[in-house]
Amino acid sequence: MSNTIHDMGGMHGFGPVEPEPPGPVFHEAWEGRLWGMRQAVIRSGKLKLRPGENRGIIETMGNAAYLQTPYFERFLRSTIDRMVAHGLFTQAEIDARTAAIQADPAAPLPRTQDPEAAAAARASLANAPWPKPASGEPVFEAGQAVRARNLNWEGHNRLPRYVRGRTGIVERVNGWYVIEDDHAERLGRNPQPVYTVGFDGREIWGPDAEPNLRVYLELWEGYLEPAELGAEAAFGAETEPAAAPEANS
Amino acid sequence: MSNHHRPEPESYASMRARALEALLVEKGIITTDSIDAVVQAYEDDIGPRNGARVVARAWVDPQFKARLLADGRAAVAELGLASGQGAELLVVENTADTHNLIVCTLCSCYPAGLLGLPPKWYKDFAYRSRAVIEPRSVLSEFGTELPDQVQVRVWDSTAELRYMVLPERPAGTDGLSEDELVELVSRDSMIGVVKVPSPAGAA
Repeated sequence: MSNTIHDMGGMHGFGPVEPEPPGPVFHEAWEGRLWGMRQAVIRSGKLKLRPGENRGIIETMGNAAYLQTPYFERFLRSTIDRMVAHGLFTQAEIDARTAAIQADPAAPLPRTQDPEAAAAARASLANAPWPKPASGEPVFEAGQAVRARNLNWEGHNRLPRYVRGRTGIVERVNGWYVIEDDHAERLGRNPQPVYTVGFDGREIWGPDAEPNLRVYLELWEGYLEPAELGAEAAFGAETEPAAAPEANS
Repeated sequence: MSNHHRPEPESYASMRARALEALLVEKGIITTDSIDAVVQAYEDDIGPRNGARVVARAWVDPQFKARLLADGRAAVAELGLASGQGAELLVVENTADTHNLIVCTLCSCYPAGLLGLPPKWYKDFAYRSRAVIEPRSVLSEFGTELPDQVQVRVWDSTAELRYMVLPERPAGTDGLSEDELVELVSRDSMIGVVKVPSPAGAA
């Protein structure tokens, strides 16, 4: 759902950040196995998730459960959920297999090999989603003032609450991407351009914002509307070095 | 590996994950060695050393740096690297006037091809909630204090782009080779929570 706990930018109450020195990539062996099997299945083409499908599942697990479930356990739940939904196995099968392991944790797992498939899985890790072909002209251009729409529809979206209704400046026009939104059909053409939009800290957080702050988000075209730049949204000339370099666009 | 003897009882999550692996392998959906290959890649190859190579090259080669800032994805491909998770890579440069910080407030987007998997704190609620509203306070928890005149730019990865910070080259490194510079560049400096310190003993 739209306004669920995953959208946490600007919240208070989570305490200090706890830096950690570089250590093992996976804190628990099962986290690595989960990461590996998920990547291997997706990159084999046997699990085709639409953009945002997995995130949407994690977001609907319930706010209290989200907060109480560690990252890799959320990932485990959503992975099993999607694999069942896409017919790779049934809920009964995974539950029965789990019970069998609980009954005999020392029993070894089956081991199979296909060196060609393993090499392909490894090679595919460099692949990433590629922008879709442009299907028209972008509505906005770099330097233009835009306002993030105040949308509160239920369903998965990628428009954080903390920028809704706020005005910023288009920093960069990026590629065209399929919009990850449960209401894509209400947001115009699809795919659509993604803009990097910069917001002044005071425009988002008000007069007590930390000094000299800009926050940049990537926003699909359907999340934006044209705007006039108000005093709060204008990038503060009084606090900014005269020769401040522009971001790398 | 997943079956080794554990001194404490195995967690439910671990048993659930092993059940998942057993099912996927028994049904022939994937083979065990495909899982092994991905795990090994992230443990041994796909980590912050990749990003450090990009940073060190940018420090010694101004033309590479210009290409990197203009089109990150194409520039890192010159080094045989890929951003790996995002379609486009935007490299943002720290200078005397500007300090950049990357975050994903909605989930855990991260330039995995260059930095590997994110550290735990990057995915934790404290960092995700606070990086956009009080980045200076977050930075101070990493020991990074910035004067007010330095502009803080926070990049929230809400779509398919990924970011990496190009930290400032520290003083006292003029005599170092590119390979020596690689060793100085930490994961956290490429997320933007710390600067790269001058090497010990540098003037």
